[in-house]
Amino acid sequence: MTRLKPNLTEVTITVNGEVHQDLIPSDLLLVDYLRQYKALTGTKKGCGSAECGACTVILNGRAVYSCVMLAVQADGMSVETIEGVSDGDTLHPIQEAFLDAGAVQCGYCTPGFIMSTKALLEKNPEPEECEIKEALGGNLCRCTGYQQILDAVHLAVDRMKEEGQQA
Amino acid sequence: MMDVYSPKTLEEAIRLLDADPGLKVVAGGTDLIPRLNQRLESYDKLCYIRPYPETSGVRTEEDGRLFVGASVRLNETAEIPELAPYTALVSAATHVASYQIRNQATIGGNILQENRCMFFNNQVHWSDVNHCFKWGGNKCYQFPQSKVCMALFQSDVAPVLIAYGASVRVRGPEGEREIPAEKLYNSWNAKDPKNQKSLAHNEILTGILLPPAEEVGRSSYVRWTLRGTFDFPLLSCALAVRTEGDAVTRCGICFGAAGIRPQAFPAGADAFTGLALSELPAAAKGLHAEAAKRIQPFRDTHLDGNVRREKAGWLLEAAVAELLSPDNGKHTWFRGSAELMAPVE
Repeated sequence: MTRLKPNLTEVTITVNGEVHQDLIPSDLLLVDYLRQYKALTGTKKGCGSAECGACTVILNGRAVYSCVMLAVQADGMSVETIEGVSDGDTLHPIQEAFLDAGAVQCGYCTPGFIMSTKALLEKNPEPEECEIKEALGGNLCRCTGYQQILDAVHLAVDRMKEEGQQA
Repeated sequence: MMDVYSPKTLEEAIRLLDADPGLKVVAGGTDLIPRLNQRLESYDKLCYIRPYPETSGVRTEEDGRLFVGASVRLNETAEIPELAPYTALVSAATHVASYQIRNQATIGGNILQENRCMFFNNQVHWSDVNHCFKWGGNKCYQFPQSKVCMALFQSDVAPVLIAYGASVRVRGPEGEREIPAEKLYNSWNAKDPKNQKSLAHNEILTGILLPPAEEVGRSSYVRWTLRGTFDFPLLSCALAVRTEGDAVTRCGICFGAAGIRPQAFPAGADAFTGLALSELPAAAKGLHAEAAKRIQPFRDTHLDGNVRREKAGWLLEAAVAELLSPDNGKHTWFRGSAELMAPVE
């Protein structure tokens, strides 16, 4: 990474499998980089203070809050956002499960929940109830009441197991 | 607009900090960046401390101690086999905040986190008129008679290090030095009324030095929270017990979220030493009054100081029960939070 002039920094970040090289303000947050520079507005900016989880993305295989992370901290790393989850028009089983279980109401928290779920299932394809709760504990939803979200994760686990699919 | 420097080496980072007193260090960012986003603090310049080779990984030192790099992410502690015998450390590190935060936050950042206070961190509307110490003013709303900031220190990892008798290693322009974990929080003084750790501005924490696992022995960590996850502890307790046969030969106890710094409980450790493990639960029952003395009467949005004091003995009992439980450290969902909320008798 080279500093070209004060306050601008060049970063190389792989977003959803595509390598991007950008000249950005050095204090840009990762969520703003994704939303403003990459036009990937699926990642939501909720609280800005690491409380709600709407901004969750997967960074090098781990779920993180993109609103309390500088884009320079992701330099040289690989970011996966909600836009990279589906295969074209074919939804990912986790996305399908969220729809089928009624786990989506206003939908603002959903990208964060799906990214947290995906990060969990990539590491642990058959999590126990308490492990799901712990992994999703950092995401808040104000509409569904959470039970449908837990149901959705269980549904996704069952379907992916049946189909032998990996997260 | 901030200028964020990203030095490529640790030496370069120390040089930058040495040359510029206005530079603020950021590593994982989960402590500082929320406050920046909330406009509670602002800086012209940040120095991003990336994981350097000197601050990464876990290795055994020549003297048998285990070095844990300051850049190790909190969730990584559960994946490092060398750390498995340090039950309380892994338990504390893997129950901080939420899963996402633990993937970002470093263990070094956790023990150097800023103290928190319901007046400062909750953006009380009058705080920008009548400034407290953290705002650059001259009063503390927690303790109006105090000459220094009395915000609460809520690190989960720090009390464990103190119970273990661990040290930390810092590097500055003059080289490296070691600080016993307990001394890291001893620098409150009238000259700098904001909470400060015993680190000079130009020094960077490179890692933690844990005593060998066999010297530490068994250990447990319990935290009392309102929510089952994603919460700061209202109070926490770390317990480490080395045994020979069944008799306790060394004991360390430390309370977290108990004041402006972690509060070691040497009277409790002395009372436990020499006892058999099976005698510890009864001994802990008799230590309620002593334990309460170690808790500073700090109130936050959830709790007043008296309840915090009353619960100290209860928490020590819970730490003993956890230590003796075959499931010590195995919970992913902390049991007992609801039980702990039962009214004080």
